[in-house]
Amino acid sequence: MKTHFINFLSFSKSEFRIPNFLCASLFLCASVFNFLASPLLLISLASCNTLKTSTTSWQTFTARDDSITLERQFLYRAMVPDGWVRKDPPKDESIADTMKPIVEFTIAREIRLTVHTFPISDKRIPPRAQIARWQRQFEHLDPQYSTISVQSHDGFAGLFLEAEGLLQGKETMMLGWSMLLAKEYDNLLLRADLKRADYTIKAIGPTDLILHHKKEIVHFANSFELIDELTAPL
Amino acid sequence: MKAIFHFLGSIYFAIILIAVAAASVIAGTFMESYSGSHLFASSWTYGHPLFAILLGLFFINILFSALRRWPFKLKHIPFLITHLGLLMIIAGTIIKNRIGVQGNLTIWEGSSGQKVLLPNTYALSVEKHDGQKGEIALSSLEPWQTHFIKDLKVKIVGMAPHVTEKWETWIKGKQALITGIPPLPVSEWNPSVSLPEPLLIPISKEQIWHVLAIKTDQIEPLIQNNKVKREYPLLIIAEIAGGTSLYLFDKQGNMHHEQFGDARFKNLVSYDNGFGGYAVTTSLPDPNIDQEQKDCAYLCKQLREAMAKNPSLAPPLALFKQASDKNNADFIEPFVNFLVLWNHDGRLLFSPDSLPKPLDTIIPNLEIAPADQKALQWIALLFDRLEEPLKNGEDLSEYLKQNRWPFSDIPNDTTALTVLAQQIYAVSNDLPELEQENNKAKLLSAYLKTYGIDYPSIKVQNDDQAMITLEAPLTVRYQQSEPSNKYEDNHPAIIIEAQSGTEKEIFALAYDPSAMGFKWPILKGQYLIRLQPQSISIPYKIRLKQARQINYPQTQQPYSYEADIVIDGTPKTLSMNQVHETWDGYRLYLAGMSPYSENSVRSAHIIVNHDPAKYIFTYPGAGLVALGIILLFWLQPYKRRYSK
Repeated sequence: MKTHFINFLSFSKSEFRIPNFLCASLFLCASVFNFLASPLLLISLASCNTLKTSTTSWQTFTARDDSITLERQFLYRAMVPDGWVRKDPPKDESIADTMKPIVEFTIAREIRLTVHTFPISDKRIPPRAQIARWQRQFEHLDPQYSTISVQSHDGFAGLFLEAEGLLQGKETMMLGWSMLLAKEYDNLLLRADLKRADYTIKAIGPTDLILHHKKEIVHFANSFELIDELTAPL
Repeated sequence: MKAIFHFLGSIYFAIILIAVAAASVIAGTFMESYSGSHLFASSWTYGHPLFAILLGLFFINILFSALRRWPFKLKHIPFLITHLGLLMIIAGTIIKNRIGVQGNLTIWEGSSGQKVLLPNTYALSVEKHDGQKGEIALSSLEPWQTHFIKDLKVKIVGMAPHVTEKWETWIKGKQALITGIPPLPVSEWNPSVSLPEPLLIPISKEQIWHVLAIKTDQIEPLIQNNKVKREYPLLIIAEIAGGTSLYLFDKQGNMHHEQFGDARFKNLVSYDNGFGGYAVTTSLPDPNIDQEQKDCAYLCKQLREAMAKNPSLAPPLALFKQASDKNNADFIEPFVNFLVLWNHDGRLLFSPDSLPKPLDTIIPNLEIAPADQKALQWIALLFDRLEEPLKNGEDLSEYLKQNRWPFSDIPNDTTALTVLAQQIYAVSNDLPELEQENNKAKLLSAYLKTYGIDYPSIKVQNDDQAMITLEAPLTVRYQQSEPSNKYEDNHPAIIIEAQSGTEKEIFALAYDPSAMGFKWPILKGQYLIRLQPQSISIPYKIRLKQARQINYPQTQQPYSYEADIVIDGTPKTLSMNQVHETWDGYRLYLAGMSPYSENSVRSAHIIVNHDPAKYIFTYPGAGLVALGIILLFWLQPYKRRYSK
């Protein structure tokens, strides 16, 4: 039995040895397959992905005019996803009034996103006051679904409000950023009045729809910046 | 000559060099351990010029030892490759030390930067009034070196290895300075001596104030001094440990206080972009105006606007309004007047003997419901009992605990009495009847207290306050101190003689390692100057979009720090473990970031490193050394075989 087993082993070893050239060919084939298959596999997996990945592009926005010349200077930019419907204020109309947005977007027909700028004069609206004003716009606001967090980016600092409640009788969600030009830049922009502006971004819409588009709205708000960088504080 | 050549390329010389290098490294370790200073240890070891000579000798030793094999044979190849690699590594090190960059770049969110500060170097940053800027690089801070930058000559005439700086505002030495007013003498004071007479100073055309300039370490006895409370308006400029304080006492006995010190000033003024110097300002309420009267009028105006919308009133207010309406009297002004009188009275509840008009007719007409009346009587009884202990400074919660108060959760703040009143109110139905308390003003004040309403709580800050602004020039004084062996803690300063044309000035400057402090005006405002590290511009402009701290979920504990930057138009993210390297070898490391608040942005500290020889010499050199070593071992058996 033992001998037979050894014979069997020796038989298998001697009779079924793969020739060297075949080994090399197999290795080559495997490498080529691996090289080609990996991207193909990735492509096929990617095509199975049902998540929509919207593309974004930089869009520029103007500052407010001085109500006399109606000239508007392009001052801001942000990454705007494709599919957002942009509405600029009419060119023959002054937007010196800070009640008017400098730009407005409609997202998925029901979300309204507005950007307001507030040229800095003696009195500035503190973010807490702005956030409190927004909160008061709700008929009912559950504190559990209203969070405020501190934000800072691109030279602006302020607060971000995420609130969910009853607004005009409908379940509504609000994402709002109230941002002030940081104090570090206060004294440097005395001559560039247009840059001395605080801004707010507010998106309002049905809760489920806002939640669906939250990532791109947040991305828009975080990318909002002055086209030209600010002069370093010191 | 040949003997020298052979010695320089010999193993003996190599052993000597290795021994010296090892000894200096050992010494460096002990020095760092002794002084706690890396800078101190490195300045005596590998930062020392002798170490550069040692490196040069290593280069010579390796080169000569290779040349000694001339004429080269096939068997020399591994040896030569190894030595070529070593020479390339040393050359790479020398090149990096000479022309490489290792510096700090600080950028604020929203701005960009490309000037890198080189740590532990010195330079005078000079700015001319016409906008020209320049930098004088200093090899050291040793005195008697003279430098020129255009028509400005600067000569270092003195140096202190360590100074402490003191920011001077309202008091400079023995004088108190308020811009526009002649200097005032400063007196030293302690409670055992009498207070000097205040000087009458015209602060403006309409205002004459009593002013006292005092140096003291006991501020409480000073502001409590009887003499201080006698003469109004009185401004005390007091220099105490840690800075200068201003105290203004007005007609009503109110005190307004502002502190200055520590190089952080709330209101700072720079004249002519710093060429005209710097000043600090303070805005104090006009002490000759009855601010309380103004505040009351403002509060009445605010309440009237609120009442126009017919709001639902809190029960005590509704009660007061009902009584006012019954008397055909105004509701708002008497109500505010009641609160002000109660505030002046100073007691927990207001129980005056008499009341002014129209309160004398409104208060008796208050129709308090019997259930409320019982609760308010109990509140009045308890507050009467608390009056004395609280006056004596006893802690309310302790007092209640000692007297076995049955409820807990009394907050340790201004709402404590309101919570206490509410607790009594909640159980008043179960309490026995009390003897009739007839003082309706007292019951009303108890009712208001239950709802947390009193004058301090509803007083509205009146933004239209008449303010008087005072200003003082800002200067800095340096005091020489004993330097530490820990070089990093030392704050050196130099004395400079600057000359431009016929103008000459001698002044002191302290080292500003972050190059973010003031540039000081010299030569009558012709120039601004600052002692700082040398800076170089890198070929990349880095814009910081956002710097953020990422915490572990549900905690405030930082997990990571990240910075979104834009470098040559391309967005990149730096983090603690994510370094960005440009195609030409500039490496950017995120070293840290400053905190931020609701109205300030973060700044990111980025370390910039550039080793121009890395890919040409150092890395290939290391590769060659590795290859040479492998070949040395690999060829060994063949060598043995052939030798047999």
